[in-house]
Amino acid sequence: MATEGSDRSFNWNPRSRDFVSEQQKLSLKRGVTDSHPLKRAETVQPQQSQGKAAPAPAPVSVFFDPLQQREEETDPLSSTIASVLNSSAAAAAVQADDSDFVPWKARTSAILQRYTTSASIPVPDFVDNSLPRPASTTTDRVKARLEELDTSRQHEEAVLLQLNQADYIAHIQALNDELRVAWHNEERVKALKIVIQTSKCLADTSVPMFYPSMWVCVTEILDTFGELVWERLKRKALNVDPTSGRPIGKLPENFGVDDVSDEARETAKNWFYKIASVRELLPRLYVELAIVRCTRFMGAADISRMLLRHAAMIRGIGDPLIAAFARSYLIRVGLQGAPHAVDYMTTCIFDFLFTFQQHDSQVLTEYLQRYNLTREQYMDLYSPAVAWMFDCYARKLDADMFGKLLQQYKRFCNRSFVLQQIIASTSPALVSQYASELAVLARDADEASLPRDRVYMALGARLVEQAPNGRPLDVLNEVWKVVTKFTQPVPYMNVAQIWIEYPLKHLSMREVNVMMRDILAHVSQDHNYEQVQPQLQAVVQRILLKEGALEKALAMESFVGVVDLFQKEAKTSICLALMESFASGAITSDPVLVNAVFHTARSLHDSINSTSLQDERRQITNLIKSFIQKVDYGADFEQQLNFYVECRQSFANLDAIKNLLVRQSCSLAMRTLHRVNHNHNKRTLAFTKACLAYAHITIPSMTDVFGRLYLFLLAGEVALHNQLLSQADAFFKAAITLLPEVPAMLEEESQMRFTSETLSAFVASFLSLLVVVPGHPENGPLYLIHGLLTVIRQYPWEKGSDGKARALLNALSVLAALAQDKLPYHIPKIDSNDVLYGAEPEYTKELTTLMNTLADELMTELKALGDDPDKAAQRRQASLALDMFNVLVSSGQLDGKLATLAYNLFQLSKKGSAPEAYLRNSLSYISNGTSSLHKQLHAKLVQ
Amino acid sequence: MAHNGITLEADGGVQLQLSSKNVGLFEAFASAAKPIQLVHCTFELAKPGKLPAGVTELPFEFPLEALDGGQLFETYHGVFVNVQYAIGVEVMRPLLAKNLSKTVEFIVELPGDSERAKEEAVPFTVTPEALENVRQTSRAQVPKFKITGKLTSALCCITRPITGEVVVEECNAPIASIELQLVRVETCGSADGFAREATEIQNIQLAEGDVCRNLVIPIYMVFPRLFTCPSVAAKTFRVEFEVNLVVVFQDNHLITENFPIKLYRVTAKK
Amino acid sequence: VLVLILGDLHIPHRAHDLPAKFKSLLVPGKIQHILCTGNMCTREVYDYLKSLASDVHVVKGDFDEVGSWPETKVIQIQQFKIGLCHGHQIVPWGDTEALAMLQRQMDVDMLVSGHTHKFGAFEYNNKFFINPGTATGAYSAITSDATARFVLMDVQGDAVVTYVYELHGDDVKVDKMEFKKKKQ
Repeated sequence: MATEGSDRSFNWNPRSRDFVSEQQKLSLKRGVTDSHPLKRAETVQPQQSQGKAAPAPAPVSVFFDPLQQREEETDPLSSTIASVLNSSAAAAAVQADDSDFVPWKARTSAILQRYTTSASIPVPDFVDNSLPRPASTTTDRVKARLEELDTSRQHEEAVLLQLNQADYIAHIQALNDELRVAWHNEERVKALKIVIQTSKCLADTSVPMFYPSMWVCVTEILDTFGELVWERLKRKALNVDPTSGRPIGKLPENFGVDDVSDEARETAKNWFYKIASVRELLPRLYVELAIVRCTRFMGAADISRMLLRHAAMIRGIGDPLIAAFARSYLIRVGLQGAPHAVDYMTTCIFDFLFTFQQHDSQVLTEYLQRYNLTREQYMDLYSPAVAWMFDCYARKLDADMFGKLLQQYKRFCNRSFVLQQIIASTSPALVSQYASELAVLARDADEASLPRDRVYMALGARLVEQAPNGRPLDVLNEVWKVVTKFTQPVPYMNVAQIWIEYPLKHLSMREVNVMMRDILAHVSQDHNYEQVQPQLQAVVQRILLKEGALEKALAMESFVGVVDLFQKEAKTSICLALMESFASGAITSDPVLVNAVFHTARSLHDSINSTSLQDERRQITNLIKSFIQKVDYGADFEQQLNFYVECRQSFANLDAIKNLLVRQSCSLAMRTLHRVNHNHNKRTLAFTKACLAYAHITIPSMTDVFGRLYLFLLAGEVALHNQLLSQADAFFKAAITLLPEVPAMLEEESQMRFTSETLSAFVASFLSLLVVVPGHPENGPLYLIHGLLTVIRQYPWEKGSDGKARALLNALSVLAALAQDKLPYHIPKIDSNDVLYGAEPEYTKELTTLMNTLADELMTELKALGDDPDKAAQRRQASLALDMFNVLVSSGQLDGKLATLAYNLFQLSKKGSAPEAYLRNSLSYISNGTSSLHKQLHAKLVQ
Repeated sequence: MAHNGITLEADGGVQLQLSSKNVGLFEAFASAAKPIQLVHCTFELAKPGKLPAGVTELPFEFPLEALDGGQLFETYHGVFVNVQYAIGVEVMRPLLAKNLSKTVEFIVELPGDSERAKEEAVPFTVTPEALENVRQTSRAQVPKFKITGKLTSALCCITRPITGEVVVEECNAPIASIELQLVRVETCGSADGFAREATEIQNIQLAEGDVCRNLVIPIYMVFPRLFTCPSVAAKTFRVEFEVNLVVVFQDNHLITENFPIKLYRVTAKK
Repeated sequence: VLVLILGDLHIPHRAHDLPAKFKSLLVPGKIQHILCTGNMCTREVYDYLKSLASDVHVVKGDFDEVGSWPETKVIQIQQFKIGLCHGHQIVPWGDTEALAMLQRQMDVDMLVSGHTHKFGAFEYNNKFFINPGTATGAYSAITSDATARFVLMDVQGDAVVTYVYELHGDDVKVDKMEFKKKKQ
């Protein structure tokens, strides 16, 4: 370096600039336009801008309208055609109609998890006899047939393996694999044997708790088999080119019997013949169902008639549990093969209800005793099958059919378990249409199979979604007549937590109040409320979620009474819910409401202590913040400020709240300024001062140091806007005084980080602000800058950081701006230094001296970095030199000596490998430079 | 390849074999040796000459007619009655070379009725009182029950399932199984008189377990293709069918209701 | 593609919400990218922007609560390399030369900055500089009455058409300007 320290040979002179004309010269031409990309689609399409080749964005096509999409999908005409033509697509379309429906595949894992046993499960060993065997000669065939008849009589004596649950599932899985292997090895008879034998397991209910899971496993094998046969027939269905041996064409998705080769037709027929001769009912039924959709290859007139026959066939199954599961399998394959058929489902469902008479039989009673099952446990085994049946059936129901279903239920079944399922499966529209009938049925149902409250819960959930026709109050009365007589708090509250939404949605707060009183009466005695805290919470939550209900609820004694019943965590969570409800509501100044929520917010605030989790703290903070923002006294700014004072007292432990309060008080001051149109009167000025005083008191009580720093700047800015110069001064001084307290490291989002970068940014911002802050009549025009520079110089910057150098460089830029005749920006009605001191030579001299001092200091910094053996320091030196170069060439007067300095800085940065692009861009900048000095320097640099 | 002519021979006949259960061993042997020939004809397919190398196809066609104004029967393989048709072809070869021959069975189905017979339901009611094979004294041990139902028709088209329904209206003992048994009855005539033989050829379970009372359970059974044929009544033999409805109780008691049925074939008019 | 540029909303301290007129213009699915110059100042605003377009870029303003946002960010959209910076760190604020220096440092074709709450769009040495102002009309250190404003850029290859949406009373006024990158 040619220069160092005080042996400086240059003077850092800023070039003169005119910010206004610079801006005007560079600004892009701007013209009013009528068409723009956000213009509504229904009015005008955006014009193709400038006739460019590339298409302008077409918002209409990009715009995804889910509603429109849906409409297209459910176009009634095309969907019926699709369903006739393509069963699987139609099945999908049907399912798309109601999002509630859970397809079969999504149900299995839950079933397997729910129905388990520790007992061992019998599995027949695999010696199969029930199949007619293919035989080559007549006599063989006859002999085989005779043997078969003999042995099938003895099948009861077949060896049974006893497996535990895990082994059982593994065994079935192995069989599934074996089935595929056998199939691919062309061992069709073996494959058929496997499915027949496995489906025989389904006749065994000796491990009741496992039956549903077993059924899931076994039907998976059946599904595999069905798939294998189907796929094979599909391949066979194509006629084969006799010369090449390759199949001709492609089977259409919606193929009919005429598209199918004779061979496929015969093969399909053979499968059905074979299975039709299986002696035992259960395997014959299940295996035939597994391939029932293959009737399509035979041109069977109507799969739905087949399904109807199978529905009737299931009546032969004596055990109602086995029969129920068989029915649900029928519906499963039915949906696949004939998605629109309904009659067979009706038969299934009506038979299912009819056969409930068996539940009273001696046989079943003995069974329950043998396995030590309650009625409820036993019915629970039915659950997967029954839920599936009713879920599927419900989607086909119209009002008339639903009425008939209820009649059948009432006549033959009348059990809570089934009623609950019917309600849960059926659409809210239908349930609400039959609401009063269902209320009566719920009252009368035999509840041995399921506690009655579950039925009312299901009914409530549906009716909440859609109000009953006619008078909703009648239904509520009908239901509550029964429910209010519940003596146990838990079932009562189970129902109440659902039904509270009924008056909320369909009636008025008056009825809500009545129900709340009933709830209070039920739970307040004998500490009953302790058992039902979650349900009570749910009740309160539902009220809170209802828009606009909070205000009315808080005025109800019953509501407040219920809220008082909460304890500990429940109390906290209900407070949170209350706050959330308030936060989502409208802005208010209602004193009752504000008071109640304030009370809640305070108790939440007080619940925070050193052991509170970070998340909890954040959640509470956010809720209190929302609360503060929702309270707005409108034109009454003074009351608003009083509210902030109260808030500061009550939420003293939360920095973020205080931060918010300071900013709100600043905004209040700015709103006042607007209100008076920038002309304060005595009163408004006093109020503005009060706002700033509030900030002045509040900021120092915070712990977050950067928060404080920026708030001081903010408050200072607001003071300037209000022409309160001494207040502004006080804030800026406070910021400068605070700066040394910034620690080297701070925790941010639970990570320790160095603060130097954040501090640099703050200093930069502060310096930019100081451009407009007028000097002090006594302390001089630059005293704040001097003060800031002093703390920057003294600050213990992190070793190797360039924070200090950057601050000095930024200060140089600020001084270069201050040296101009007119500053780059002003605050209205504030005379900045350009006006105050612009013409004074002393001021100019002070600026020059300070700039040179800063330049010297920067050179020292550069040297220090250069002397540091650390590679990183070298790199920093290079980039600092380049920054300095850039500041110099953009704001300095590039006469001889400064040009030499610029040259040297550039060489230094190039040597120290400053970022390539930055170097290149810097060069290109001076090559474009307006002054000849720039061009000369450029010429020198590229030599 | 040179040959001395190729001939085709069609044969058809009924073989009867009496069960040793019905007649003595010797009679059984003797009667089995008396086949009834139904069809016999010979054609010359090619005159002596030479066959060129490669595949040579010789088309043929002949009307199937019974001998001497007799009657044709459908192909049928029973235990004691067999109706079988075969075609044999023989290549005569000169000198020392052995003649070549091959025989294959062919299946005969006779044209049936042109339309389905009118169905007439066969109702039934089974009660302990209606049982025939129970002695009065043991009747008290029989559970109280009433099982009703019907067959859709006793005249059954062989290609269609036999259908009907059964209802357990009341029954105070648990039921284990309800089954439908298809039984074939072959009757052979001989000089010594007639011999009857019944064989169970298929058994289909209609119900398993203690079925729900008053629920209509369907009867449905497909006739097995290999073991059934239209009912036949010839001079020397008959093939007839019947079904048994069998109700098995959990204590292994069983009751049976028997229905003779007649199988026939429908041939769609061309 | 459409790029929404906005910032300095200062919700909720200096404004309750984005002007309703703006909200009704900004429908989900139309805009592909959003560049926000910061000072939103809450998470909710970010979530709202996310609902308009999935690609949202934000830098940290002096009053942002989310600490993880960067001070500066570079985004490539078609042929434009765009630098994004809030601008409180620029010395002096909004100065042409200071911004140009940052542009050289970041090596970008376009620099987006805010903080001053004053709109600015200029071309300097064939680089594009834009300051969308404040989307809510919030006051700033050097403006006590700002116009609510946001910018929408239609970027097509190396050309960009910029639309400036301003709220005047109850009306939204739209201005248009064009910029094309020159081949180097």
